[in-house]
Amino acid sequence: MVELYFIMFRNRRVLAFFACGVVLFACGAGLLATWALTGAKPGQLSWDQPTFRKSIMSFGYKVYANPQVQEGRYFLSKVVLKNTGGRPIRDLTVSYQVPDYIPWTTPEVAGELPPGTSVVKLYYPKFPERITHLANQTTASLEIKLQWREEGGSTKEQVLRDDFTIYGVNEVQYSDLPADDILTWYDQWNLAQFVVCMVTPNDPVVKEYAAAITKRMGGTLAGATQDPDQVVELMKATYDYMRETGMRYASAEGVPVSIGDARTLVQTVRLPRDVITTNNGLCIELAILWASILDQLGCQTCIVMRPGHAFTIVMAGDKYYPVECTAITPKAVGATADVPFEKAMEMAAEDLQKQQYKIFFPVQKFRGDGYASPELPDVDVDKIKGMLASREREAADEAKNVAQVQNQNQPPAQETQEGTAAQNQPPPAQEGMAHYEHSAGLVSFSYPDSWKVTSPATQLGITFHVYDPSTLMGMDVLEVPNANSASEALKAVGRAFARAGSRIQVDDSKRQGELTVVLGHTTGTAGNNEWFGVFRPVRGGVIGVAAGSPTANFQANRQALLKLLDTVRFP
Amino acid sequence: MKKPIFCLMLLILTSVATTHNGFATDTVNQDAVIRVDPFGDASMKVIFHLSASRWETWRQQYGDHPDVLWRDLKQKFAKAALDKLDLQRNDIDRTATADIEARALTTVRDDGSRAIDMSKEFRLVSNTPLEWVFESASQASPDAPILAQTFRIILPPQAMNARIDSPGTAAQQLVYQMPESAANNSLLLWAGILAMGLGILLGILGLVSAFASSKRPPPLPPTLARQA
Repeated sequence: MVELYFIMFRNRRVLAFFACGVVLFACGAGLLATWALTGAKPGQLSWDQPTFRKSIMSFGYKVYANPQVQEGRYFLSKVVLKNTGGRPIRDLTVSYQVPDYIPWTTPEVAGELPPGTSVVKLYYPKFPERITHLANQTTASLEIKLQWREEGGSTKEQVLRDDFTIYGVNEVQYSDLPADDILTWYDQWNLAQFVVCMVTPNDPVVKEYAAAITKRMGGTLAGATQDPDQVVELMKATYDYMRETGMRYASAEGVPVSIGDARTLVQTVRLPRDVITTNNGLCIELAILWASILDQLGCQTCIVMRPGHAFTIVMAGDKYYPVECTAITPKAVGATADVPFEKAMEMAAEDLQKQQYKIFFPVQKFRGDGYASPELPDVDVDKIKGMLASREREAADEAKNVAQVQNQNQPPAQETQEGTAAQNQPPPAQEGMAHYEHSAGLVSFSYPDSWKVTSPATQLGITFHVYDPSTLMGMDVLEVPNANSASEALKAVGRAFARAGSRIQVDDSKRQGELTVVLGHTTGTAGNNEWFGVFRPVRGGVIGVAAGSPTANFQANRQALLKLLDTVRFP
Repeated sequence: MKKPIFCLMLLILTSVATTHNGFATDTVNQDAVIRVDPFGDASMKVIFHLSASRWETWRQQYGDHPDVLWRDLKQKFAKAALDKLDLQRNDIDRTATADIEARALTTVRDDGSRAIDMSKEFRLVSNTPLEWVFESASQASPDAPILAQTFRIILPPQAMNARIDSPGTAAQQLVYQMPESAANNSLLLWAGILAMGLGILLGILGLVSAFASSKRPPPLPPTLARQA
């Protein structure tokens, strides 16, 4: 042994072997120690509490599916994963399921997550079209399944879960900010841009409606146009069509609702097809309908929202034309007679000017950004065509009837002069009073000259309207062709009012010779009124004069109204 | 789609960058320094100076309400995991500094390299292996101010082979590689085992050699050797 030892250290070759061996062994041990000390800890996946969206709007389901919309803001869930271990995590997958709506799906495989690194996983659910069949809000669950494999280890799995609300197809949630976070008016409308999804220019119902409008214009403006004059013409045609076919404004308010820790404004807003079918809508519904129609006709549109109201702007080149969509119902804008299109534009322009808070949603831009319309169930287009044709016929009949009564009651010129001279006994002229004389001399009366004469609602049979802007007292001349009596005339007027969404009720009536005196009231979306009326059959129909005021001050004005009625003279 | 960093920087100046102040179109300068750590997380410092009227606008929207800025940042930039915001402003010289910390600023690509998404509006103006400087000039509308932004991205010291992929396109990315950590290095394990094995082998060879030497007869003394 001693000899061997002696040899080892005397023999250079042997010494070299030993020295190299020791050095290599030491290096190997060092490397293994480094590996063991720094890499021994296995990969470990950790995550923050995921962020779950509390609610979604079913009509906007395409928006939630699109990660491109507003930098991916509308995710359904967000989870931040981190490898807090010392070795990589392999085969990391994040899968999602919304029971009853979306089966387990894995949008992407994250793959490897090196030690110390984080990854953000967002989920943009692709809901099926049938989500739009939901009429009312309902609760659904989102499940997130995390699967990963630690290096050299087994596969692990974890499922996270939370509930969320799916709003019905007609429910718009204007904000999802927690109540504590609301600072300005704009904060309450941070989701209002979703209304753009409700603009449905390609809906067959909207197409038919737009076609009916252009048909009236001879089809000359069907198709895209950027010419300001043509755009205004198109807008006027749309406005007049709505007005004449009985479209009306129906007021309602959104209802504040609490969801989780968020306080939000949820409003029932119907799609344009429903507004067309029922022939009435809220301001926002009418604004959306306008945007849909004009969009279908090739115009650029913008929906404007301001506190308590919404309307539409139509753009042509660098010009823009706002329109007060609700002016089709005069009472909605404080008027007592039909508001012409030009006035509706003026109203909107003034509103736009004076409002401090307002938000603009250029429809085409937002749609380009991903605010897509939902797929809608099929409809019976023939039925829609029939409905629109029927409305147009009624509107045409009304106009024709009014024209007829005016023509039929037009006596020969000589007779008129003689008759007027012989029979009409105008009341004595009084100071401060103006005088109305029917063009055919069928009736006359006096009214305060401070009152304002406005365009009459001829489709209701009203051929003259005058009112007091301060008290809203007013007088109307009604002409009903083909009626034989006052009761028949009132029934015909009642039908016309019903088409416009209002109702006439006769409370009392008394016949005195050829005259019938009536006490009645009118109820409708534009408010309630009570009135006195006096009617008389004439050749070809019935003519009458009504004097009334809003129900709230009818009693106070009763005597004044009776005095005015006393000035009525029939030939 | 615009990239998270670009949007994040832009949001801080939203009201200023999109509104007309009634005066001639001016330029707003915004400088950002982004330091990326070895794990792909980042700390960002955004500095800007505004004219008096724009300062007033900005102050009303965010300057007086850093909580609203933080809320909007978190809500609108879903793809980033924002951890912290510190907003400091100097009303005397109308300068503000926002410090933001974010996780997962980089993504790990299939080949293991790291990538930072860059909006195509950003043009590379200079670079060293670890420091990359980009510039952009944008204008939200003809009446809005020109927003001149400078981005300085500082990569971690270990970063290698940094480069721009798809420059000038929507897919523009700053890409770099990180050395695999010891924890991730199986080479280390195998090199250690191999070295130890070789060491043992050499030791054995030494022993064998020594043993063989001990069996040999000793060399003849010189006198005998001459006779032989």
